[in-house]
Amino acid sequence: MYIKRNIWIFALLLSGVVLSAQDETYKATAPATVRAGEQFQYVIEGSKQGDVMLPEMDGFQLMAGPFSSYSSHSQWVNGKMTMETVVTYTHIFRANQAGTFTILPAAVRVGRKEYKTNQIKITVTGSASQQSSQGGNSQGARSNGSAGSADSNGSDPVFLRVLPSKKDVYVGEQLVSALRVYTRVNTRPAGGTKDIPYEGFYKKSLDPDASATRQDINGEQYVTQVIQRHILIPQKSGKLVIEPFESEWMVQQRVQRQSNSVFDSFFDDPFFSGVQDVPTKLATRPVTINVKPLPSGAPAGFTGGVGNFTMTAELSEDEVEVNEALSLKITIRGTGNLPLLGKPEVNLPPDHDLYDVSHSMNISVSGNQIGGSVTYEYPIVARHAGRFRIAPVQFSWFDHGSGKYRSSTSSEFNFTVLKGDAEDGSGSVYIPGIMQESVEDLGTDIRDITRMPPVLTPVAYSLMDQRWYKMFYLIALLVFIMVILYIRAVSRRNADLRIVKNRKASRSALYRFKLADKYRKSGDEDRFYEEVGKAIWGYVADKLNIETSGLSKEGISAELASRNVSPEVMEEFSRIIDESEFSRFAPSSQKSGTEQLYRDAMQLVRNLENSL
Amino acid sequence: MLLSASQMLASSDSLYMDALSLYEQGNFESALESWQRVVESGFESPELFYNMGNAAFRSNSIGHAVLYYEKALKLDPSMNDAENNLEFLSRYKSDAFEEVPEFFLRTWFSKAVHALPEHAWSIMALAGFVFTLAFLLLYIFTRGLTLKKTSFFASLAGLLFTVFTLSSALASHHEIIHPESGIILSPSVLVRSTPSETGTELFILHEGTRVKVNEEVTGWHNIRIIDGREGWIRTDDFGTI
Repeated sequence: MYIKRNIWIFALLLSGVVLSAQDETYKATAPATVRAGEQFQYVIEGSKQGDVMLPEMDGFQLMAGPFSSYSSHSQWVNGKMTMETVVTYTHIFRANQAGTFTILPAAVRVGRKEYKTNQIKITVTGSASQQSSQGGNSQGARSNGSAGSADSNGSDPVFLRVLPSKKDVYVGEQLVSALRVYTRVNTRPAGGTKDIPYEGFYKKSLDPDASATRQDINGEQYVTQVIQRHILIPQKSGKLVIEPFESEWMVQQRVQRQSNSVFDSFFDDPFFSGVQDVPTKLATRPVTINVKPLPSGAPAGFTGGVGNFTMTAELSEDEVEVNEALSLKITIRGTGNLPLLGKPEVNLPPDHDLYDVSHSMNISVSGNQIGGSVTYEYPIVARHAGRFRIAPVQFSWFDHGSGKYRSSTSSEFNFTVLKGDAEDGSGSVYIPGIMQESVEDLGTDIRDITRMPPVLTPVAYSLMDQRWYKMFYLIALLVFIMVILYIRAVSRRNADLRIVKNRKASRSALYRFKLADKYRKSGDEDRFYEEVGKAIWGYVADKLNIETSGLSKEGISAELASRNVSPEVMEEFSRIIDESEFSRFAPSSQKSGTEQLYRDAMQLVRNLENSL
Repeated sequence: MLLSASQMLASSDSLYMDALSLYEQGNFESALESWQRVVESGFESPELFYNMGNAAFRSNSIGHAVLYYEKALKLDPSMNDAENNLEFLSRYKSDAFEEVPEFFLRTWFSKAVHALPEHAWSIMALAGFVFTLAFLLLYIFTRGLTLKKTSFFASLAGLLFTVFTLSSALASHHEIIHPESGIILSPSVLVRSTPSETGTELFILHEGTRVKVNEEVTGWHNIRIIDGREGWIRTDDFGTI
């Protein structure tokens, strides 16, 4: 401003000295196309200073200005001095919306005269349009340009470029992107520069390499410097576009001065060099990064890691008490997309509570790569005592270098949960009864041990297994069989005896009859009757297998009846028995004759022999 | 041979009494160990198992306590103290099941079998056998009609009695030789679908739970819980009654 004022004063001075009456023309210039939101210069150039009256500028906003500059050029030709002066009024406008606009002539009032500038047509393109570049202000790197070569039409004094280290990466693979400024003039950023919003990327800023270098581009010497550097990690696959990034720069522009005035040398001093910081919007060109998806077939334990890792896992304790916590610590070290890792899956034995997994990161950048370690801590609380096992933890990642998945597996973890005091008796809940006046339990406990000396038996003692027990069955069976056999034998022998007796019966009867006959002949009637009775009784007893002592006439009759002896024979039997007995004790009565009785008795035995 | 057996019995007796005094001193774990040695030397008794159950309970091992009480009850089903303590322990068990109803005759028979110890059944079976044979003899050789009828029915009744008591004895004997029931000893046990560590985890059992023990595959046993579910557990996670 100080400079400007000085210029102003000199201009006034000069205008007072030289009044050339030539027609004044004022020319307005502006870029033919600008992008919406961009600033551009609207310059009115003339030879005389005056008051500039801008027309209605619909769709544009005056950001700064007018900045006027003045230069003069004087010549002496044949003793005649011609003086040429150039006055410029620079306005900075911003285009607000897209469309085609016509800037009507501006008026410049000089003294009483008013001059009109030319009319200007400006096409304002939409900001999304990527083809247009603002008139010479920005020059980005072409998206297909290689990192090292700067293509530029060379005419731009200042341009910005985004230079990614790689353009073909996997999802999750790191790359470094630098924002570089190339300049031929003095330039400085206007205000703080914002970070490039890399959409679709995780970004972490790196220290920009502050040293400026020189680079020759299309024969022009540029000074280039990195302004921002970021490590980028693409988070999705596809073609990710780094959108044009704009930032405002103060670009020093030299005001043209071709003055040969006496003051030239004076004005050539840098102090008066006529340079001016013009705020300029610079934008990068869009850069497309091709992000490849990870190959399919990710192994178990893959949580999105891309890079080069190692995993260690450790259990804080081997032994805890019930309801105490222990923790499983899984640390993943290495380089890669550590901040984007998911936590590895841990298969806890059931019956355990897993609390929120805590997660701590220790990340640093070295060699343009994100590295460090991530630690996951799994707090585990066991609900019951016992021996437990945590299955080995597997962590897998994608190694973009080799294009393969790799994994690392921990050993399995075993831990023991001891019974704590807490569990002791916690299960017993005493619910007081709402009964009448029952005897209340003050406490419950198991019954005490028995102090009786025990009768120890061999373990798994079983009577069934004892030989003597089985022998008992055998013995019982043997006794049973022997008893049967014995009784069978005895009864068979008895049966034999009966047969013998049976056979003997008639013989002994015959013998007694003979004896009776002898007594009859000798006249011994008593003996005769006795022998006849004995013969009959004996015969029947032998035949029926009855003891003689147990004989009675009724018993014999019943027995005979059961053996199908005919009633006539039974009657005969009864008569002869009676007769023989009565005749013995009453010999005088009823004497049918011994002879007759003898014959009848013989006949009876014969009859009985037949029927028995 | 006989002498050494009786010597062993004597030393087991003294070991038993030592354990008893250890228990009285409150040294339950040592008492339990000593009693365990008695069992290891090949002897058992309902009182021994009952006391072991108490010692196990006092040393906070519910699973073992349940197991020993069950063992005591197996040897002497009428042991009231063991039954009482087992009932007391049920409040410490974590697992609750809905019982699957069995065929009622099976339940009855099982209850009957467990009502008496094996030797009682065996002796009754033997007595029934002798009784049956005696009346069979009477039936065969008697002449009187009433006596013949009576002895026939008596021997028939004796036969039925023998069949029942003998099958009870055999069932009881089978349980001694091949224990069918077990008690979970580990505080919690994962029951798997196959006899390996990789088998699908089916459910969890906690100590003191009674299970039916089926087949065995080296180091693993197939078990069935009371509600009918089955699975495999490691052999050292349970004890057979």
